[in-house]
Amino acid sequence: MEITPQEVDVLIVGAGPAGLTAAAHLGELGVRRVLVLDREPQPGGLPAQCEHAGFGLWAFKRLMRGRDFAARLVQRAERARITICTNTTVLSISPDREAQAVSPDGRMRYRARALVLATGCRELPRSVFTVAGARPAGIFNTGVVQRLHSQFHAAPGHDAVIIGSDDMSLMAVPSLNQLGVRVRAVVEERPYRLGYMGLEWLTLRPRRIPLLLHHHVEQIQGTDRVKGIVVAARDKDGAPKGEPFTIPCDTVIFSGEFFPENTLPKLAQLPLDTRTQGPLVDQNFETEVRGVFACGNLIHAADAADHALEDGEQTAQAVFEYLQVSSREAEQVQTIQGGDGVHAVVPQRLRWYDARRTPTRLAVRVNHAQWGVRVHARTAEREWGGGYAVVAKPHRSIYLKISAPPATSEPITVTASGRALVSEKFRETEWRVHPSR
Amino acid sequence: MNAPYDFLIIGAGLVGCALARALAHYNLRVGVVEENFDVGDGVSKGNSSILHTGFDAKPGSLEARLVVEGHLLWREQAPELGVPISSVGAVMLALDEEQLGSLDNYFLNAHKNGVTDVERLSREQVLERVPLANPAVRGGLWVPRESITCTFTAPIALAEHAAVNGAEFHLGERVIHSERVDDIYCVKTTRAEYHTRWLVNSAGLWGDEVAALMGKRSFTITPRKGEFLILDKSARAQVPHILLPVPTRISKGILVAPTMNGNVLIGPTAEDVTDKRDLSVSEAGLARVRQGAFQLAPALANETVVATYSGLRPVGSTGDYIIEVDAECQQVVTAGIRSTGLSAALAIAREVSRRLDSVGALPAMKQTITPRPRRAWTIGSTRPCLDASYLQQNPAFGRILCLCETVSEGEVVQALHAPISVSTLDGIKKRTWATAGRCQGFYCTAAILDVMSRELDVPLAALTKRGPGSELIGVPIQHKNGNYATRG
Repeated sequence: MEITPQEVDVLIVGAGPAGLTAAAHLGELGVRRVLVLDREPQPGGLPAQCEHAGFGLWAFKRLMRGRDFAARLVQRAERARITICTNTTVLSISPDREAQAVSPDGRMRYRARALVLATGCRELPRSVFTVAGARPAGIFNTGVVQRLHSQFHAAPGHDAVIIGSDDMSLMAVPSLNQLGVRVRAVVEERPYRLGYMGLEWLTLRPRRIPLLLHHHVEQIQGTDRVKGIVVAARDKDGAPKGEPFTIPCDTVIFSGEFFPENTLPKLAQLPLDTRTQGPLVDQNFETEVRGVFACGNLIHAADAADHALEDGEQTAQAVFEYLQVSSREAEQVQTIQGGDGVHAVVPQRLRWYDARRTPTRLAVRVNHAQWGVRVHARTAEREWGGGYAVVAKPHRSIYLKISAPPATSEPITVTASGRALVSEKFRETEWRVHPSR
Repeated sequence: MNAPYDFLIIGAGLVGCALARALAHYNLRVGVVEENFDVGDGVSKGNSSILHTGFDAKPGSLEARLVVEGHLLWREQAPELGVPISSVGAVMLALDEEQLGSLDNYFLNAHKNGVTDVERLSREQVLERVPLANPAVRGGLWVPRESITCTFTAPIALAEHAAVNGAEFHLGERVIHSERVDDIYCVKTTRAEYHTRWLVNSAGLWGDEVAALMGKRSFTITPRKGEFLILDKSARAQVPHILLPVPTRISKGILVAPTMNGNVLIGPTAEDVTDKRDLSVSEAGLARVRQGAFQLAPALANETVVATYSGLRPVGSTGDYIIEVDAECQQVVTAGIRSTGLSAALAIAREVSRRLDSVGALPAMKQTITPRPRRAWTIGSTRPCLDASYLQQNPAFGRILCLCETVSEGEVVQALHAPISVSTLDGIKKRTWATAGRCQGFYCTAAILDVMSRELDVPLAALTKRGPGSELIGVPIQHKNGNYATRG
């Protein structure tokens, strides 16, 4: 049975920080038929599941809990009279901007003038790391633990070991404590901590929780429920060092290794960046298909929610302009590529429609941890922008601006150089250990 | 005391369920006891899901005959059982001169086993059929009827068909004692006591120990571990057929196979172990699996791993299937049924029924056989959320819980209230495939637990992955403010 498609101006998939902000801003710009679809019963995306603080510092200039941050975004969208359909799962999208969705009310089909993908990201499960051991109960992702906490106030277990040292992993510690879960250790495969040092001081030190850097998870013990994990130290080149030892625990939380939720763009066969695994986009967040946009952590999993929010803001502006003149062809297309020391750059393209050149924000991922990092964006002749970061790690972007991009079609190469935090040899193994990157 | 069973089957794996279904067709009281909390949760759940033609089995063995027969029986009966079969065909790849030579042996072997539709392929023909095969390939053997099915669905379908025809399943009970008094066996389990005229040992890995409990121990069972990797669905398009290596003297080798669900499976290793409960994977084992698979298809090295698992095959000391029907002691033994048991299960059940019939142990067939109730979804078919008739019937089919596999609340609820009632998260996974996708439960675990808790009317903390001892969450803590909807 064919369903007649509902016509909308802008269809946004995902009511997280990026999607909600894009929707709200479009509403504020006067676009009327904007529809946001989300599979969750509540809008707000992943922050809505976060009981802990750590949001809104850039966007709202104050520290907020995840749910308050999400509530504020929802409020803004509602004030802009945006329709948010929750409990609605988008099953497929097509390059001609049609979407198939389903909800308890039945099947839906939408045809949009512009389609915005803001599906966000998720954590990588244990299986991706091919950790040895059986498949007992008690192995989670931080996302599941947060959901259990926010929805049911239920604890995942009694004694937990967190694998991963991202901000999200460290922030899970106080929430777990609130639930009465004791965190036995935080284990990190890399020789350095991913999250902020301040967070380590706030969350781990006062509770005397050891942070085991450069430790490899050898095995998960237990058949029915987790009984413990065996970890072993690594030397600076990634080779085993010392005897493996067991940490007794009933819960193992794989945390902070993110992967974009790219199922929909994959189904629509949008070209993906082999590095980020998100769709290729230009500075207007437009993918390789005209009228299909992608923003937020779908294109750079996973930066802070504030960055997703900023993406949403800019996407809305670009969509607004696209709706005015959707038939124009790009005069000039430039690629942006990662050079020495750089793993990925978003956007991967610059598309110019006239002689006007606007400043462009780049999200740059380094390919190994460094400090005193200088980032340069240049063509063969000259430099077009640059930046400096005290510390840069591969899991989070450094943002820099190209103020006046060149008026040529020559590719721009972004390079990063700093003092390495890890040995040359470890760098070779790092990508194997963390296959998402 | 309840009236005694005519047959009590120990073990609800593939063979036990197939036997229960076969016996439930007669006017008999059939009972099944199973240690695990779901059917098909032991040996049966950890294999390659391939429905073998038997082309490579040892000619003349019982295994060869039953696999060949079983394959045909599955093709005949799978549609009514609701078990999916996809005839993808298999290519055995010879990577060097020596292997090329042994392909001839397999060609002859196939003919000896009555699998006459095998074909020799040249290098070019192999690469045409499987473009991603190792370019170093020298030639191949094409086995067109080698198929894939779902090793989760098969025992569930058989058990449900048995259950709706009167077989009684007692899950989560281990047999600890049996004695025979006046031609009636009294079987004690960890929870209850059953009486039965005939006792059937289909205990898989524990076959030798159950045989000892039954008073006869003529064989031993060695667990042989196989480790597997499941690759992301994006790999499926490149793997149109099953890719088999040429077996060595030591093992059948590591194969590459599409799965019914659209993933790609690689494995298994083959390693004799001692612990019958050890289902762990090892870094070394998984590395061997990868190495073996990438030798057949180097391009797969870039694919993401979705899941890892291992299975144990019960290898009997005789080297062949052990099937015995003892009319005097009123005992049936099926043991040493290795991973080929998925293909052979129906033939084993028929073989046992025939032998029972020849000793006069079977009464008349039932007049009417109730078919297995249909599910909204079986693996390989379209999800009900895409079907307007289901959506109208029940809006829960439109509430998607697991996005990676598009599993709706309706399917989970249906699985919870099926003829074989399931109350574990793994049980839900095996029936709906929820949590088995790319994200492995990142998005859906909490939502599914919520539905289970509501439907089964038990607190969250009582929900398990596969029975008591595998509780999924810790003891809930009292909530600190009134904002939370707490349960449990």
